[in-house]
Amino acid sequence: MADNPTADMQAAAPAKRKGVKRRAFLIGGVAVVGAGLFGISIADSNAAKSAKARLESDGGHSFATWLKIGEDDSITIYSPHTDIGQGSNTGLAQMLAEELDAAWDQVRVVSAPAEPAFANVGLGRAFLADMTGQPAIINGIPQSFLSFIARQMNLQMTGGSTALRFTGRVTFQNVGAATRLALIETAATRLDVPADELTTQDSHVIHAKSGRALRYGELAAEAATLSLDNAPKLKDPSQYRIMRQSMQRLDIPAKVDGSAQYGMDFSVPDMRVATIMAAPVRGGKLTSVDTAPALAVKGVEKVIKLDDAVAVVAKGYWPAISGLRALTPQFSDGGNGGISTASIFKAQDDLIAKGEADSTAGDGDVQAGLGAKPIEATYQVPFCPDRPF
Amino acid sequence: MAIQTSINGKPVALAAEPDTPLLWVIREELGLTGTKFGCGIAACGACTVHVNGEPTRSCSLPVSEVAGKSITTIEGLKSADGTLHAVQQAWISAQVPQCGYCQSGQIMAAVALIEKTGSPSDAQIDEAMTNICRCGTYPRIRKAIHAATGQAAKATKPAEGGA
Ligand code: FES
Ligand code: FES
Repeated sequence: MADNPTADMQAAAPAKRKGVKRRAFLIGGVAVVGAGLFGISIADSNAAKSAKARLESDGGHSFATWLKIGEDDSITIYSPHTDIGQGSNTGLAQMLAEELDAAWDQVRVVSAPAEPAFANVGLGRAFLADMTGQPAIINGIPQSFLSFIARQMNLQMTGGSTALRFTGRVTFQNVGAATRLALIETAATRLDVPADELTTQDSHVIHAKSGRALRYGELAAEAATLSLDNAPKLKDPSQYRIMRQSMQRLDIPAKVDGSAQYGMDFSVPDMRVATIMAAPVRGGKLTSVDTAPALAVKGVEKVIKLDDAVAVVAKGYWPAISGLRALTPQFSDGGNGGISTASIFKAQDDLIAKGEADSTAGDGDVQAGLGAKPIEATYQVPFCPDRPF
Repeated sequence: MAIQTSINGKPVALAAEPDTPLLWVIREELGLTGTKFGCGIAACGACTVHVNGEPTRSCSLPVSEVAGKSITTIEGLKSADGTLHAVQQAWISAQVPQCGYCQSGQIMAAVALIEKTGSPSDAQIDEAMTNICRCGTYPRIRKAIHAATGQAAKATKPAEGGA
């Protein structure tokens, strides 16, 4: 990561936030990690401003990027992960909603927008500087930690069970708990009672003594101006009522009425569709193509010749694929036409025979472990992308 | 010349070239993207819609052939007040979809099967439900079809995690 935190921070020149002085901010250790992973706050950078504006454009109040509470008590959770049916977004929502004491039937989860403000290390830094009111404080944070934030925030990556383990446990539970505290604090002021007399349940802050309760929706606007606690106390699992339960998945209703949007369903005004045929052999080049048959297809607008592929651009998918099928492009094989699984295995065997292969394991004494008759077997895996079933 | 047809109860005049498969007219001209493109060769069923009530793989039907017919897509299953079709409700109760990509087609096939048979047997389900689900949700699909036709109320409990 190319880094010049000081310069970045000067450019961002974050403004001091209301409520900042009330909170001790610990630099170093877990508290900082928590803050970094909270994401953006109201840092004074254009990206952060536009992100916040975007989140709040259809109403509601944003908490630590990942959560928005509407005045109608709706709870929107922004997931930075791809859930293609594995259920992680529902799990993430459960984690946040649990610590927030949200009414589960008001919770929905949407994908965090794929824009820099939602995944930008600069905003993490701006957030730190903003919290402390001291841009230079960034210099005291180890580079490794900043890279860690960068990795976490620059990528909206999904994999390795990190959604629940990292985003869920490190971020979302804390965001839920910290937001709950901010709502309690707001309610305490409004009801003029000590915060420790207040409890929360189903998106309400409750003052049992006086029989009064306030909805999260009516507290959200003010609570969103408070600085969030960086290390809120999380619930004891014995108190869980949303986590550790098999909830109905939140993504399923949109998958039974055709409203779920997949990549191919995306469209913009005047969109064109392109189909592409690449050289069938890696390293091959496009040597010739007569574009006329494709251009004769109604709706085809353009045939694009690339170094190693040909593409057809049309008004819709059907003319685009029909145009492509009408072509008979010629490709060279880049000298790789003879490669086959057999030839790759042979090349491997040759390297092993020459002693040029890497050996990854060879520890221990096979004879001692298996006795006189060791088992011998050879396993070979063909060249294949990822791991198809 | 425009092709006159009806989609989800509304008459429409389609401008597409007559050889364009119905799927692309539905998705691109009408903007109803709930119907999915999987294989394009009538093999997977992701593009299933009803043409005059018959489950039909729209990727392989030229739009010229639907002139004067009535087409229903996944978007047209709800009733006018937005209530889900019993099959859609059963799909939610049984938590059928994983990625969901095949499910519009599965649901359209299931609705047609139920309309034809009332309460389909397992054998009838096996025969009619030839749509492919790459996520392997077949057991839950069967459960939901049974539940939607009152054959196994207990099948409407949330399914075991399928991931
Ligand atoms: S897309 Fe029509 S059957 Fe596969
Ligand atoms: S749910 Fe993924 S293909 Fe069927």
